[in-house]
Amino acid sequence: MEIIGHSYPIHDAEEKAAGTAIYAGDMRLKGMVYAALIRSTIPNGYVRDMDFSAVEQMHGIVGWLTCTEDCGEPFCRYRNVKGQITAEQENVWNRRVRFVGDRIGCILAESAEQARIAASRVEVIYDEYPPLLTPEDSISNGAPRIHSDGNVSQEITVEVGQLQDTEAISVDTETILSRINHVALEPHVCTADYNRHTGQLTIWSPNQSVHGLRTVIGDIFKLPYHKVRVIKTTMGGSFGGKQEWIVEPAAAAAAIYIRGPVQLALSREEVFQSTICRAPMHLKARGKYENNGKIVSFQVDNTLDAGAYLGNSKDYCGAVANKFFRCYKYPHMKYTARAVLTNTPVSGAFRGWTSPELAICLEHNINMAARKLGVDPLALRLINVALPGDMDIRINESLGEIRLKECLELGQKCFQWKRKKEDDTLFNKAEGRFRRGCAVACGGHLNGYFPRVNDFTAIGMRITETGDVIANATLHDHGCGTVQLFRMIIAQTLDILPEMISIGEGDTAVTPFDYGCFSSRSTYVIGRAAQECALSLLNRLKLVVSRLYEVPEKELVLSNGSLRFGDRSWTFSRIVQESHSLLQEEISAVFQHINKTNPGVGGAHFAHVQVDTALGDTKILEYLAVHDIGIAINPEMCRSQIQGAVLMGASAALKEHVTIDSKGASLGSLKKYHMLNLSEAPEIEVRFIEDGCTDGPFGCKSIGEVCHVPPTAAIVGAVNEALGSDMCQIPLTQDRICSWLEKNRKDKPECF
Amino acid sequence: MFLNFYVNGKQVGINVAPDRRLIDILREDLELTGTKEGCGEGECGSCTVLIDGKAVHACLTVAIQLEGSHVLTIEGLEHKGELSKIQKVFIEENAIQCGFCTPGMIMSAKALLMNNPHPSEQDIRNALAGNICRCSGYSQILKAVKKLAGEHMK
Amino acid sequence: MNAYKPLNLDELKSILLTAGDNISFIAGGTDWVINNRFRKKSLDCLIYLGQIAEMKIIEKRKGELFIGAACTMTDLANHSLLNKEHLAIAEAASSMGSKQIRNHATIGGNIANASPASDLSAPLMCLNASVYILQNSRIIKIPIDKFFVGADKTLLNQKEVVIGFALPEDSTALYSHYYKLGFRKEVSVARFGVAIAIKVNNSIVADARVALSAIGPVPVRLPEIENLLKHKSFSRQTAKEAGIILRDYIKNTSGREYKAWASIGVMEDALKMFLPAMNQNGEYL
Repeated sequence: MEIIGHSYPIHDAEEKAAGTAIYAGDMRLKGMVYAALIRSTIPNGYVRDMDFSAVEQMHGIVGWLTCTEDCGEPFCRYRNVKGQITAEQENVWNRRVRFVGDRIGCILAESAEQARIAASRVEVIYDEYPPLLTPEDSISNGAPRIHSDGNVSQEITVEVGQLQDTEAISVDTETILSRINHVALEPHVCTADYNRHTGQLTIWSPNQSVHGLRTVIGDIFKLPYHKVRVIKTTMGGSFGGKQEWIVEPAAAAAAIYIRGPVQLALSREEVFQSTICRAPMHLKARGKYENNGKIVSFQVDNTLDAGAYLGNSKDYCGAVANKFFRCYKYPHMKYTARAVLTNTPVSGAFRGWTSPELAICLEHNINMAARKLGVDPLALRLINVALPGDMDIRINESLGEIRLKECLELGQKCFQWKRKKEDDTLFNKAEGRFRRGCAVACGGHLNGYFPRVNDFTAIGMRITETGDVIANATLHDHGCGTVQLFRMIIAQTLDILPEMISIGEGDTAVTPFDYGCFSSRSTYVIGRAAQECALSLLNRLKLVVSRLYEVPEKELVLSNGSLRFGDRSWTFSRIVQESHSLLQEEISAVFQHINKTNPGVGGAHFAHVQVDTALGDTKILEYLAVHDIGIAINPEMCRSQIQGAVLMGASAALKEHVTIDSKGASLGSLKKYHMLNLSEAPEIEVRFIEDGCTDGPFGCKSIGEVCHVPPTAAIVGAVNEALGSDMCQIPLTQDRICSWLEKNRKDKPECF
Repeated sequence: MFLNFYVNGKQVGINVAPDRRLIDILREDLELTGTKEGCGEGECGSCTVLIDGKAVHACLTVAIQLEGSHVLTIEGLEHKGELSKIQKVFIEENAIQCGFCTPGMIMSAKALLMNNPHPSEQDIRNALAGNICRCSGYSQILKAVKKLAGEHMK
Repeated sequence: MNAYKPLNLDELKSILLTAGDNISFIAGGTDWVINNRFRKKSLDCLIYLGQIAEMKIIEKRKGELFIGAACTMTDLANHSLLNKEHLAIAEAASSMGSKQIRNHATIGGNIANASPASDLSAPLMCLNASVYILQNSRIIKIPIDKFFVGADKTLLNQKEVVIGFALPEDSTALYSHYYKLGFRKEVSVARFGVAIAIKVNNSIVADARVALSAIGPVPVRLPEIENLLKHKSFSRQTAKEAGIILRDYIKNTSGREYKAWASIGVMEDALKMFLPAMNQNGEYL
């Protein structure tokens, strides 16, 4: 059967098309009440009093919770593992408020709308303190402390290799990244229920780790973990936004308080202001290159704006250090950084976990180096690209079968790089209103945690009497096809149809312990376990046949849901029934897997843009993404993931910016936060390099995050090529581009 | 006020506040949760439904505007348990990932094809410009609607 | 809350006679819901304007074209009475929001809310429109340039309703267009809204009216650009000069740097829309 390499719709496509798929916000439990957050309207201060008199006059109000009373232990929204060292700075309700949008309580009502209206009528009296709205403010002398241990996290310094004293040229660049938001279409939501008789708390939410969430909820409310059941619901997108715990502690508190079911769904404004955003970063890079273009060193200094709670920021800031050697081979890097607290929305995880951010910085430096050296930017990358067997000298692990060079070469050919650049030179010579430019950007990432974290997983499978498979693993499908992928892997291994596999998603009461969907580990690590477990199941089938029919195990051939030996065959269904009745054994298998590899995984993206120098608009003319994917198990799903990431990265390059106003409030509306819509979505060509040489299932590598690493860098590079500019403060809005033109086109006052 | 209108072909009579949003009437009062709230301000398109054959935002429409009108939601496309052509083509063309934009996207496509059976690519882009998809680059969605536009020609 | 759904102006008048002051009007609802969902004080009375027959029509009357205030953007975008000299109105209606918004948003709501970035304000001003207002049971007519008094502010008092708009008829060759520059091509608030109307005789501009929105709190006419365009045919040089006038205007008013820079491109692109009318095959001379 040929399943791998063919395209299948997502496993619940029919329900989604019919409108019957149930997301956490669609759940309706008997007696359920609705919660709405009460949030701070000031950026820094203390809640002196909360007045509910207007609320008391409303119908349908069940009650409220506030920060004036204790509610559980302090926690860290980012913590995922018991014992993980994190700064537990947040409470479920924060009386000491530190940003506009900080949770100070919630209203419980019979309808969501009533709860929201009531929340808007609570009068809060604050003691206000002057806010620190930028890292510069927070670092300045005498700046008050946002948290007790100061505003600046411990300085991070990582150095790998030695800076040789060569005749290398230096290229200094600056990269300033705006705060951006994931804008998953489904706002954060949680349905929670507390059974007052059994003491069982149940949480339904679209989250990226049921076990990670359980650990934080259990510890906040001092519940033993077997009394906390976390179930992952159908997820309307995440992109990293749903891997930190924000709505769930609040919903759980409400459920425990009313001793019944509660639903808390955030508004879009609350998602912007009160969940997480990708941290603004100020990166200063110095690249050193030999005259022939070989990179000698990258030194990067980074100031990351953590927002009001440290959350993941220290680890996130530190993660940049691990992304230096996933694409290029060179002997030295130095990374110095700090995460700085400010009275602004909290920074947190974003797709790629700093790989995109570092790529924007380094790819820009490489482009400027190419200019300085008079070398073609693609050629410069080819000189430096990591080759199979090269080491990631930061983690001292081999990049294995990395195929980034092939990506560059295939892209160069398909994109017609040389021809396009010549055409652009000719086009730009006319010095008209429009300018065109091409750029290439490389992006690398990981497949799981190894070796930083001792990564492991487990999966179980059983075959039913009708020959189908029930599999049990902790999966977290973002809506990106994980469940279908696992069906395909198992089906291919057992030579049956994917629809004969039943596999659910994470539920702490049922599915085995697993860290969750992070670091692109699902396919490479859990998927590999699934493949191995299916093989183990196959072996059990063979063993049973061999025992019952005295046929040599090794000579049994798998074919279409049956085992054959010569002209005899046994269907799975028959084998299972006979195993039950004749051997008193169920046919099942469990596979525990510890992952020990992390090959290089990357992509080369090619962008061709046209910039309107009169209006500052950038149009993407052509785009090609070439990915070293090992094997595209579900090709159309991979393609649409890559295209989605390209659009997301392009949008970040040109438009996206969560701005903070003078009173410390971040924007909260899609009216002000612009993304590229269908009107301007370019055609995005995708190509795969597939040679199946890794430890991933069927030799595959990760794709969901790595495809988001190059796009912003590629678009920025192309704009700079078009204008001859060196901008790297994103987004490159109409305003920024025209501002650069105004300052730098002194020879043409009328701009074109 | 007492509101009399039609939802997916069925007559509905309910007592509601005149400013109750259609999206709440659908999701809460009528338990039709296929229509999604992604932003509550008419920017994401997830709540798109048809009223008298026109695509509108359920999050910006209120009860007082609905008297006698015919509302069609995603749930109304299925006929006797069988999905409509539009729904089937979206599935076939892999135009569904997280699915949150899907009901709104399908309803916008439905409105387009009802009013213009042979839309050009530009027509499609214009009709769906108000529907945000964050998972994809719109490529599969565009292909699905083009396929439907072509099929109408047969 | 009392809810009223008048079917004609007489019903609206009698409702307004008895209703108190704590009332709100809703037409398309695309602004109303956002502005009213979390209001502090409950309303006593909500009046739906979308079914008032006299407000839903577009028709020629003696000496004027009448556009009812409850006409939606979609109604305007494809209307046969708006496809010649009043095309700027249809183009502005097409450019506003998304399809879903256009199917509900009304011209009356757009003008009464008076956002500085309103899409319909510049075309109405450019085409010399007047506003019909129901005031104390009588209908009065006010030139549109008197209607806007500040950002988001009009001269409407509580309980006054915009009924419709009158466009004076112009029999000689008149062309109008609306050019919009937003943050993105579609589904964006305007950063510039440019409405231009010209009368042409033998490829020479006999008369010109130019109105802009989104460059100040209220829409404005720019007589300096109008005078520049008159008695000439179109050339790239003229377009550039028009842009420079706009740029200097912006520098002297809001001082917004981006808008000053973009002025030249905006005027070039706005005037380019008229080249087919000037028999210039879409090319500047």
